[in-house]
Amino acid sequence: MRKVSYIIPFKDWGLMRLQLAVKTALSSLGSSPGEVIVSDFGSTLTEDEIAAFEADVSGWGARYVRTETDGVWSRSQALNAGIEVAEGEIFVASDADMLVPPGCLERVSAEITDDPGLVIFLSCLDLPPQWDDAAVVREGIDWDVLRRVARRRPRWGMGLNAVSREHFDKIRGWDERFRIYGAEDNDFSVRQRRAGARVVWPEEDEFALLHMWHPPSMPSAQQAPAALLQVEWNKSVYRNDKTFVRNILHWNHKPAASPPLVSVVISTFNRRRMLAETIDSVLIQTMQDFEIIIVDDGSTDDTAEFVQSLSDRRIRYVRQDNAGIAAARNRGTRESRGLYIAVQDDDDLMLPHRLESQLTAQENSPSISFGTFVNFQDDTGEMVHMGVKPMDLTTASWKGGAPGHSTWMVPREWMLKVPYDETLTSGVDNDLALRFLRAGMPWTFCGEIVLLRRMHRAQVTVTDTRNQLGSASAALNRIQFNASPSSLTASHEAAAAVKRHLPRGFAHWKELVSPYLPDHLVDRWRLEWVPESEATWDDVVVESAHGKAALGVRRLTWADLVALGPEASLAGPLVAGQKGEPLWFPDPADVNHLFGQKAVEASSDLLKEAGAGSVAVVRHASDDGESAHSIRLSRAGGASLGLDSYPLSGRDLAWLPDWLHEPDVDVVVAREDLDRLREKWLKAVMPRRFSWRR
Amino acid sequence: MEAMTGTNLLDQFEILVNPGAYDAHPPIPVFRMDYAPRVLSVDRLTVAVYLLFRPWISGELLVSKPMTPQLAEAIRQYSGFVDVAVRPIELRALPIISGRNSARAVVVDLLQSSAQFLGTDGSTIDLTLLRADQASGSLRTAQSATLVSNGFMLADGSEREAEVAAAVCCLVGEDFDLGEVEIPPTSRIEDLSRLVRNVGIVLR
Repeated sequence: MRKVSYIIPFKDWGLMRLQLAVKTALSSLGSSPGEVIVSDFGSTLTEDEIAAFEADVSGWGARYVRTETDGVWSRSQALNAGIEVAEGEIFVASDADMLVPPGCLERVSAEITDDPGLVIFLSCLDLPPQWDDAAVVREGIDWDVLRRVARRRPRWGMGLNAVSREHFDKIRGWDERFRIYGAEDNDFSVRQRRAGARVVWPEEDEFALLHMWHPPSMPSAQQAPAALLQVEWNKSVYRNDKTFVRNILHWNHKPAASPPLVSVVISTFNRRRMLAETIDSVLIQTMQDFEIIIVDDGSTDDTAEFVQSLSDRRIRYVRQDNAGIAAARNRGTRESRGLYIAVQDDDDLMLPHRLESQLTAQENSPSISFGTFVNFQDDTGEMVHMGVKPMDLTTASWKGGAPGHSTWMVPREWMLKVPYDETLTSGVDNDLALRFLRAGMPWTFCGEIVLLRRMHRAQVTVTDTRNQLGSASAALNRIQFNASPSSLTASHEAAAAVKRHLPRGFAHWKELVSPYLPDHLVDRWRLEWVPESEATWDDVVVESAHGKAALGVRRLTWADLVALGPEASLAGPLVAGQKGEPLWFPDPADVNHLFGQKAVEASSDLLKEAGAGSVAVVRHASDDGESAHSIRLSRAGGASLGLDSYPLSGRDLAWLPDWLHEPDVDVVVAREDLDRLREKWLKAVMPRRFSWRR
Repeated sequence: MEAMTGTNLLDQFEILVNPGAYDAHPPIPVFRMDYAPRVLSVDRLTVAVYLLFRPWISGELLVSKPMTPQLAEAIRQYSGFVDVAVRPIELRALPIISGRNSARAVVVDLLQSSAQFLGTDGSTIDLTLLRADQASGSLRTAQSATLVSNGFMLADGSEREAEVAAAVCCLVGEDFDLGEVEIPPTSRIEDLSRLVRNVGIVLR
């Protein structure tokens, strides 16, 4: 039987209750291997008290883990902190005031060992006021007596559940954005269902935990307006966020054994220079929980030396005798550990938000996520945006096309089940895409441009056109094979009427993607703050409460972007122009760009005020037409901000106005908070006065 | 879980499912087969739906037409720890279809083995079940049939492979006049036999 880890989140509550909870849980394990973990999430204790508390918990037979906090309770984070150190393969989330019946955890272990795809919900029986912890100690535990006087709580809302480690990993644990209280348990279970686990509510007595009576313990701070706002926000996440993978950008309590979220799999053959640029484009992703698998398909250049010289531990190098691209890619799948595989060719460049965008596009159930891409000429820098149609059997049966290979993100288990066809020498991607469809795998457009695809003379499509076309026609024929001519005609008519996807920011796509072209094609600049002493003739000197500083244009190379890492695309407006062409960056004195630069610095403060993190697009506009703040928090927790609907920093510079008009927005910032936020905002972003030095 | 059947624009037979409040969302929410059954009783369809999507069903299983109470009870028993209630149920007596032919079903992965199409001994129909990512269409000879579906995506491990094979046999059973079928080995063969005999098929 699998080992059970029973997690009790805790903060400043009764020790007698906790001791009873621990002891009954340990006893309930029976013959099953298991452990009980008390996750102390910021109890207000001195160092000596903490040591004594830990000793007490250890003495009861449980493990103790403590997390220092900012004082705000988060059951999600407390549970994750306990699970981070857990050794079990089944995690049971509970509370500190629960008596666990004999045999309960033993049965939980047996059932989930038998079927790891179950989420077992434990019921709650409320004991009446005369049955507090002291009474339980005084009278002893007679389970029949206690069950007779207890009242059953309605289903849901208690968050007492058991789940296998693999399913916990699939959804990346409890969503750590949930704070104060409310909805995290329902959110957890619905995400488990989306990820493929089914919910069970066993009726037997042994699956019903008894809740010891105690006076309400909600501190007054949890009734404050800001706290209530957070509670509303929690509910909004549960109602509106259809994703199931969470903690994408930050998972504070990721267990060491949990796999990386994404494996970027690159097969390569004698393309050392281009491979280096491809790897750089991965390293600056906003989503950093990845591994990069480089499968060297027998290169004879210095690819091996180059990759092995890279110090980033997330990069793994695998070499094999030259066996062709399909065999190399299949090897990459087998070597990878990530939940998803981001397919990447060794000559293409990811745009910085690719992995984040494609993960947040995973809604309701797993799918193959894809985006659009931009073809660029490696010798001239000329660019063409390549649109894409929805990918399904109907559209594919018309001409057999598929989204760009390096834009796919595929659940790893699907790639294991349906691998590349190693008998093909060319067109393996198109063949695989159509076979994915035949297997029933759904495809989802992530809504963004995710890739710069390099056009050059050594491309497979250039060198092996005949085989590629032959492979494509065979794949198309297999899709069409079963259909009658009349059905096929109807299918083609339906496909012809389908419109191409338009990515967000399409009207400004060149400005959005050109900063990430290779260094040999573009010059790249960013507005940056520098000490006044380092100001140059063109810089704008600004005097603020913090003293004088200069805002100037600084040139950045790809090496600079890699040094910035995930901040490369977030730290401020980044623009690029064709190599050798005059700088067309707007005048740095443009006050709106000043806002833009300072907005980034102010964003973290404002996020805290607004209730940190969010679901999708979040905004508040005043009803009377007055100017208002606009706040957009990505589902993954990233943020960009605007003042009076003026688009500001970085990535959203161009397409913020587009999504401001999206209908499905959540209002999270309360109207009464608007003035306070505006004041804070202005204080943060407005310099006291400008001085010009020309 | 609610199930709907039909054929798509490419003439494939489809079973689409829609999860309910306790169900898991099946990663592949559709079963597709290149052969569309011509005759299919509701009991056999119900067993097929249940076996194809069993790992994701918890709570109610809704099908389009009423089935026998015996079958509903058999499904409940087969589900074990997980409560599954099948609806709607028809309380009046309904016939159980019975077939005359026997068959042997074998799942073949063309990439893992050279296609071991079965030799026929004249007494059974050899059912070769191929993967839809590797083959297209269907083939019927006097003593054999080749069926192509995405059932492999719903099957992890030998027990699931047997359940999915049994499901396909239920779907084509009336067209092929099947009464007895040999399926891939499974440790749950007795439970599976008890379930499938409610729709007039004996499993071996």
